[in-house]
Amino acid sequence: MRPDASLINSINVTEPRKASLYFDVKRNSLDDGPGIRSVVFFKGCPLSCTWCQNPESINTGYELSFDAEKCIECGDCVSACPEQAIDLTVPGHILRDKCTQCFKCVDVCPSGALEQIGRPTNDLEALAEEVLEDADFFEMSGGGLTVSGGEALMQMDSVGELFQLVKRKRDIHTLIQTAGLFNFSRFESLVLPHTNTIYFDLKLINSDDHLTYCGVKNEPIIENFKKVQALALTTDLEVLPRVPLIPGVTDTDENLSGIADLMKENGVKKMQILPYNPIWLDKLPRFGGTKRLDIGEQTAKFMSDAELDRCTEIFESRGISVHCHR
Amino acid sequence: MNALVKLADREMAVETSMEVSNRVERLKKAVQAETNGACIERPMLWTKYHRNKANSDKTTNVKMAEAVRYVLNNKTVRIYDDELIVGNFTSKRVAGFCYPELSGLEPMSQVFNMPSRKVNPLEISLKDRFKLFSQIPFWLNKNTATLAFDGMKEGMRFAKEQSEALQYQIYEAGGISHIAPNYEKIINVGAQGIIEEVEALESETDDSEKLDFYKAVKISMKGMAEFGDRYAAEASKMASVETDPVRKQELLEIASICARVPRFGATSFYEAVQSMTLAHICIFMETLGETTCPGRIDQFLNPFYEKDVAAGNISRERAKEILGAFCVKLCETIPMHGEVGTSTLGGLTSWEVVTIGGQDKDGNDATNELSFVLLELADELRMRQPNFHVRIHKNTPKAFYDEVIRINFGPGSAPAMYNDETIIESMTDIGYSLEDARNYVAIGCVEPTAPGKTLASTDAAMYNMPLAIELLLNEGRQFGSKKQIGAKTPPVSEMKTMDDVVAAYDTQVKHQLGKLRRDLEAVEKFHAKHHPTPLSSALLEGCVETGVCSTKGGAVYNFSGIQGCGMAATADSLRCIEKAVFEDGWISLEGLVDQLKDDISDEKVFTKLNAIDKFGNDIPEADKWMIWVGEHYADNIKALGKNTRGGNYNAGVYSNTSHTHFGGLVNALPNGRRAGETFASGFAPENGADKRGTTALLNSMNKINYKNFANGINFNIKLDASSYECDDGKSALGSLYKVFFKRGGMQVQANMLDPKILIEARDNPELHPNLLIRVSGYSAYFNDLSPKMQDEVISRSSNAA
Ligand code: SF4
Ligand code: SF4
Repeated sequence: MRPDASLINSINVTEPRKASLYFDVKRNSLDDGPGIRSVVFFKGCPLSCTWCQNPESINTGYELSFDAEKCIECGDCVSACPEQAIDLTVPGHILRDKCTQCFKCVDVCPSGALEQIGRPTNDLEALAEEVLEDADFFEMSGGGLTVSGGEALMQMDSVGELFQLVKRKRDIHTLIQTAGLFNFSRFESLVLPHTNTIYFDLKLINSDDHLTYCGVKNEPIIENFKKVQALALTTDLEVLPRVPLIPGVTDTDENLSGIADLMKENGVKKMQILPYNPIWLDKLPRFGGTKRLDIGEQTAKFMSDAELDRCTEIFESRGISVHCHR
Repeated sequence: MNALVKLADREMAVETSMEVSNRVERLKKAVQAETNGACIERPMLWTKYHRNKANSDKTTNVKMAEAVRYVLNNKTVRIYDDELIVGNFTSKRVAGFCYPELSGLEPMSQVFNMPSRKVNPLEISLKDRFKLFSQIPFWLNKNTATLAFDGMKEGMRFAKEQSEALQYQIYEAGGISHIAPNYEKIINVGAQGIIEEVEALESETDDSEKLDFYKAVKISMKGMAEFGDRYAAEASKMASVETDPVRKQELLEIASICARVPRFGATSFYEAVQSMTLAHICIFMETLGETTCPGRIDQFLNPFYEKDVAAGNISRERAKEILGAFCVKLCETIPMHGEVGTSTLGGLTSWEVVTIGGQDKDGNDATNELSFVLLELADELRMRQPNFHVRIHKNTPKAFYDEVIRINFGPGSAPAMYNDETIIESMTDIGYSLEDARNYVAIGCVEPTAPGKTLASTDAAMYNMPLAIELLLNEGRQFGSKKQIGAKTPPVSEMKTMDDVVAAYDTQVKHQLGKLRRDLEAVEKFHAKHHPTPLSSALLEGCVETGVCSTKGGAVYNFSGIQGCGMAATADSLRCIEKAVFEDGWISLEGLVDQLKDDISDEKVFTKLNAIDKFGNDIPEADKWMIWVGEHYADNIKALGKNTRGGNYNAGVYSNTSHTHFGGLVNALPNGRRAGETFASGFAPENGADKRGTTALLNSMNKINYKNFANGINFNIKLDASSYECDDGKSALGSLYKVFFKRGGMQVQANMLDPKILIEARDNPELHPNLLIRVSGYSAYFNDLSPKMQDEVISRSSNAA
C-alpha cells in the first residue's frame, strides 16, 4: 500500500489519491516547536526509514492495532468479526490476511485493546476545533499547531486548509515537520502562505545510502531543502534543519560532515540533532510489523553524552549552533 | 517506607546545593538529625494546674489563662547551639504533645505503642509513657467528647465515630486553631501594650463577663511576657559560662532581645522575628497549635527590615539568616496524633503556613525584598515546615513569578500557588471587606483567611462524599452491612431514571451534612463554654475590642469550613451510572449494584466501567457531573445556615490524607473503583482518570466555579519533571499556570514526577497512566512501554537527576 519509491522519485508527486487520514492529536507537546503545542499526525509517508518512530504512520490507509497488554480475553471481538479474522489462541490475535478492516471488533472491545488507527480528514472544521481547545495555552506560551506524520505534506490540501481554519479563529503559530519529499510548487501555493516554521529533516547525505535506509533517493529532498532555506533567508519563514541520529547509520562523522557542509553552503545558522530513541521498538508488534533495523546492542539504548558531544561538534565547528534535548 | 523517611531522604539529597548561611544549614542539620519525639510537659503541667483544688472555683476563662501561664512559667526553657532565634515548643528538640482536655485521650491511650508503631513513630521513654497514661482517668469526664454531648452515651457515640471517621471527621474536636494571629500587633505593641489596652477598656465597662475575659487576657499576656524573661535569663546564664567570645556576644544579644520582646514592642527586625516566635509557641500551649500560621511575614516584617537597612543595622544576608533560623524552628514542632489522625492527617506536618507575595490593601503589587528572601529559603531549605504558599495576581512582577516557577523543581514539594483575583472575589462574596480580602493569607492546607481578625475554623470537619453513592445504592447502608447510617432512600429497583438516582444522592448528602452539623455545633459550643482561648483571642482583632472571646464569636470574621473529600469519585460514579445504565443500557442498576457488592468481580464490567470517560479530560458529558456535584455540595453547605459564632459555613475541597482514609472505608463504586482504593486528593481527577494530558485537564478544571469554595481548594497537578526542567519547559509551565489562573483557577500545586515516580509507575501502572515520556515527534505514555524499556527510561531519568 506504500507508494512505490521509484515512482515517487520520477514524478515528484507524493499525494495519495484516496484516503486522507490523520492518526493522532498529541496535546501539550513541548518538544515540537516553540511554546505549548498540539501536534496532528498525518498518515502516510513516501519514505520508509528503517528506524521510523511511528510505524503506524507510513501506510496511507487505515490500520487495526491490537495491544495484547490491554486485552482481557473476553472474546467479544471474535463473535463480532464477520471474517473470522480473530483467533485468541494465536499470538497477536489478528489474522491480518483475513482482516478487511471493517473495525466491527473495535466497536465491541471493552478494553481498548483493539483500536482503529486513522481518522478521515474530511471534517477539517472539527479537527480545527479539537486543536483550538488548547488555544489559550498556545497564545500564552507562543505555541500553536504542528503537523507531523508520516509526511504531512503528502496531504497539502488538508494541511493548508487546517492552518487557515485555525489561524482564522486564533492568532497561533503553525509549524510543519517534514521529511522533505514533496511537490514544491504545490507547497508554495497551498501551504506556505499559512506556515510560520518548517522543521526539515535531513538524514543521509549519500543518495544510495538514503535509498537503502529510507527507501528513496535523496536528490528531490535536497532540492526542496535548498528552496525552503532560500526562503528562510529572504522571508519571515523560519526553517530549522534537523538530523535524527541513528547509531552507525546517520551519526557517522562522514555523514554528519556532509550534511553540515550542505547546511553551511545554504546559510544555516541553527540546527537540531535528535538523539536516537529506542522506544519505537515497542510499538512495532501492535501493527503486526517486524523490526527492519538492526544496529546491534545499541538498538535498545539511549545515546551517551560523549556521543552527542561528538555529533554537536561537527556542526558547531562550522559555525552552526546546535540545539539538542538530552 | 513511610512518608517521613522518604521526605528525609529528599531533604538530604538537596544538602549539597545549600546556599543558605552556614548557621542555618547547621541548624537544619541539627533538627533533621533529631528523632521525632513525644513530650509530656504540657499535658502534665496542664493536669497539675487543674488538679489543684485551689483553682477549682475560678471561672473558666481565668482557669484557662492561669493554666497557660503556669505552663509557660514552668516548662523547660532551652537554647540550643548556634541558635539566633530562641524558643522551644517542648522539652525535646523535635517533638509533639497532646491536649488531654481536647482530643488527647486517643493518642494517650495508645502511648505505649507510640515508639514502635509503623507510621509516624514517636520516641517517648517508658517512664514518660506511664506518666502520661496515668493522667487519663482525670480527663475521662472532662474532654471534648464527654463535655460537648449530653450524657455519656452520646459522648461515647461521638468518640467512637470520631475514631472510625467513616462519614466525616470533626477536626475541631481537637481544637479550633486554624488562625493567622495578629503577630503584627504583638510585634508592635508587645504583651504590655495589650495589657494597657485591656486596662483602658476595663474602666469603661461593668459587664462581669467582659471583665472576666479581660482578666484572663491580662493573665495570659503576663505569661507571654514572662516567657520572654525566662529566655533572657537562660541566655545570660549561658553567656556567663560561654568560652567562645563570639557565641558569648550572641547570647548576650539574645538575652537583651528577650528581655524586651514579646513584653514590649520590637525595635528591630531581629527583635520582631524573636517576638513572633515566642508568641507562636505560647499559642501552642493554649490550644491546638497545629495550623497556627505566621501568615504574610514578608509584609508585616518589611517596615522593620527597611528601617534597619536604612540605618545600616542589617544586611540582606543577616535578615535571611534570621528568617532562615525562624523557618527551621517551625520544624521543631510536630503533631502527636493517634491512629486515626495519623491516617487522615498523615505526614507529621504542622501546617504553619508562610504566605509570600500578593497585593496590598489597595490592590497594588506587594512583593518586596523579603518576598524574594523567603522564596530563596523555600528553595534552599526544603524542609517539612513552614509550608510556603505564594500569591499570584495579574501584576505579579515577572522576576518573582519566574523564581516561583524555578523553585517548582527540586526535591520535595513545590510551593502552592494562589490566584488573588479568584480568591479575593470569593472572600468578598462571603462577607470579607475588599481591603481584608486583599490581605488574605493561606491557613493550614489551602484556606484563604483575613489574618489577625478571623476565626474561620477552616478545617472544622472533613466529609466523606463518595459514601453517599454507596448509601444511595443500598437504601442508606453500606454494602454487606445492616447498619442504617444513611437516610432510607428507595431501593434501586425503584429507581427508573437518572433523576431518581440524583434525588437519592441529594437525600443522602443532606442527611449526612445534617448529622455533621449537629456534632460540629456541639463541639463549637464546647469550646466556647469549656475551652475559651484568651491568649489567642488577644491576637485576633475584635475580641479585646468587644470583650468577647474568639470561641464565642468575638473575632471580626467567623466561619466554619467543611471539606468535601472524594469529589471526583462521586462525580465519576454518577456519570458512570448515567452512561452505563441509562444511556447505553448494557447493565441494569440492580446488576450494577450486584457487581459492586461483589467488588466488581466480572472483569468485563470492570473494564467497561473504567473505559467510560471521567472528569479531567475536557469532555463535557463527564465534566458536567463534577460541576454539578461541586455546586450541589456548596449549596448544601450554605444551606446549613449560621454556626454558633454567628458566621457562615464555608465549603472547601481539599483532603489532607483523608482521601486515602475514606477510600479505605468505602466499597466498590460505579466509576470502576474497587473497595478500599484511595480517592483522588482534593479537587484532582481520580488517579489515572485523566488521560488526555495536562491542557485537557486544565480545561476541565477551569469549568469549575471556584468562587463556590471560599474555604479553599487543593489542586495537585502531577507533572513529569523531565519535560519541564529545561528553560523552554519552565516557561511552558509558567504559561500553563497563567492560563489556568486567568480563566479563574483558584490554587495549584505541582507534583513533579521524578525517577522514583517512574519506578512507582512501573510497579503500579494504574497510579500513573498518563505519564508522558518526552520524545520529539512521538507520543508515548510510560505505561505503554515494555518493562524493559521502562527500566531504560528510568535509568535515563535517574542519570539526569
Ligand atoms: S477489522 Fe473487521 S475483519 Fe478485521 S478483525 Fe476486526 S472485525 Fe474482523
Ligand atoms: S474484545 Fe478486546 S478485550 Fe475482548 S478479547 Fe477482543 S481484543 Fe481482547
